[in-house]
Amino acid sequence: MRLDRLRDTVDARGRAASDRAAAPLQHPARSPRTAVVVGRLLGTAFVVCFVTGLYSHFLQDPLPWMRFPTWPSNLYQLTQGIHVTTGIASVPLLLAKLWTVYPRLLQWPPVRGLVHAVERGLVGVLVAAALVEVATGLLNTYQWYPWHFPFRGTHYALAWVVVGALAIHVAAQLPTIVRHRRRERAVSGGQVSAGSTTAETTTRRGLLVAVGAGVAAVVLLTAGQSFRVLRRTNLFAPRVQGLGPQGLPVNKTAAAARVHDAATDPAWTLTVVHGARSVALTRAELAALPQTEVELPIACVEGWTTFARWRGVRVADLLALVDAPSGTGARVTSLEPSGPYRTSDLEPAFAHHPRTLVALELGGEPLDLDHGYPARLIAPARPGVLQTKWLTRVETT
Amino acid sequence: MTAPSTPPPRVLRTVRLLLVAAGAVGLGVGAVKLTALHPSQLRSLAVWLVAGVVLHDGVLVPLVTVALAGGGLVLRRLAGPGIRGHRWRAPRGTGPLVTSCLVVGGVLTLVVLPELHARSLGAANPTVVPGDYGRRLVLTWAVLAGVAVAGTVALSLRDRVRRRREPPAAREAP
Repeated sequence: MRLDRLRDTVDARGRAASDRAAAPLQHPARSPRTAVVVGRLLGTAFVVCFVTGLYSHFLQDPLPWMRFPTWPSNLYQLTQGIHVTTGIASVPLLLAKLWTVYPRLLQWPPVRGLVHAVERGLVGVLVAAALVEVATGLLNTYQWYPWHFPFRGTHYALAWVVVGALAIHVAAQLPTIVRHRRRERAVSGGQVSAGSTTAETTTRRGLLVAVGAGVAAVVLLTAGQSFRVLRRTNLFAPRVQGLGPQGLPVNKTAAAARVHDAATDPAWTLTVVHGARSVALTRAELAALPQTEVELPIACVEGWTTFARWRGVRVADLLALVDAPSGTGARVTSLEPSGPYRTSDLEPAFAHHPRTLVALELGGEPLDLDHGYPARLIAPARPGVLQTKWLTRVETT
Repeated sequence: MTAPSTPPPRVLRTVRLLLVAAGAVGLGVGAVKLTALHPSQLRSLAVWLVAGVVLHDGVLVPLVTVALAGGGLVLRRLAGPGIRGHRWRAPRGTGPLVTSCLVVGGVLTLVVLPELHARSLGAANPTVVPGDYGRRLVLTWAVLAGVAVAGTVALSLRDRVRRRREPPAAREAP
């Protein structure tokens, strides 16, 4: 008996406290319909980020059976530009969604049963993971890492967590989503439908206009780092197209890679190997081979892209020097003493592609040291981290 | 008017089950990938996850709520008792206009402040975070304030023109 009374008292007090706390949070724009509309936009943004993110991940860590397109040459500019721009656009969308559903944080009772507890727990996971995913992605573009976990691995893992928790959240909310998926209109004859009051609709529109303005502003003022068409309004992106030595931004400098001495060594040679056959070429000998000129972008994993004019020897020609057959892939190695990107692999389609070069010149001049002097790899449809700089060796795989 | 028709319950149930299954797979893959981290790295991630929710739910949203309530109070005061007898009612459309300016300014500030900090730490090379973001942010706020003021004036004029065109009886509306 006493336990029953205690439970009823706690229930009543809890409900009263929850109502008191929720009162100042009432706002006509906060409604299930708003949550559905903003949720749809945010969910779409997250799915776009996930798909483009997976493409970027597997380009760098392919499963053995994967093959990637070599066309269009700026494919990675498109996918990674969309990835980073959509991630930035998620900032106002995520904040708007969380603001809309905030009163649900204080719902009473906090846990109605096991299923409800699991559902609320997963919502917590979704909110936390989404906030951290967007924040770490943004800070990565600023090259600021105020944490002790590895960015790449964690960003990838959290992406799965966000998408998984999102799918379950949509499942849990599906009846509400279905009910509010279309705008309801007032009945003729003066009855207003049970869906939205006029005040709700007006301020919901106000909220959507404001969020739309936020998304437009943040995209217009940063996407110029990835897409040429918006380069003139690029006020706030961490990179500027065309800003840097030889008109190209730099990610890893020669000093950071600790290759200065090895790269400026006059005795440097590029060794090309196929099985037992090997050839060592000096820079002059490379320059004496038939040269090809290509216009290809450096498209960074951080989202920025700049196009550049390269000149050098086709990798296919180098492989032919050591009698490598046309179906073989290649691995290039850098002078960098350590680091995850000191080698990169080229599948056969890329290795023998007419636009894949060992570049010696950039924009008509010899490569700048920070851009990979004496030679770097440049290929179409590849992320910047795989366009290996300061080459020393090309071997067949 | 009837509510929009809902799909049959069986379809809904199937979709929900599929979503839950897909979600479980996603969560599983994410959890497995996270096990590749060292305990100290996982601790750092846990701190970030908790801090994210606490900062957002405990700081950001309350701040926005207070700002909204404050703005509402100011507008009601101006329209009602007024300031030294001068009353002013915000014209229709001011709400979305000012909210848009504040949201744009707020989002840009959130996105640019970490960039400013990264710049102050010293970038790895001059092509990273090269711009004068602080000054540009201040300029942006100035432009937004100008847009808000100019827009309110324009809406006010439009309201006045509209009221003049209406027959006198309709002007009695509060």
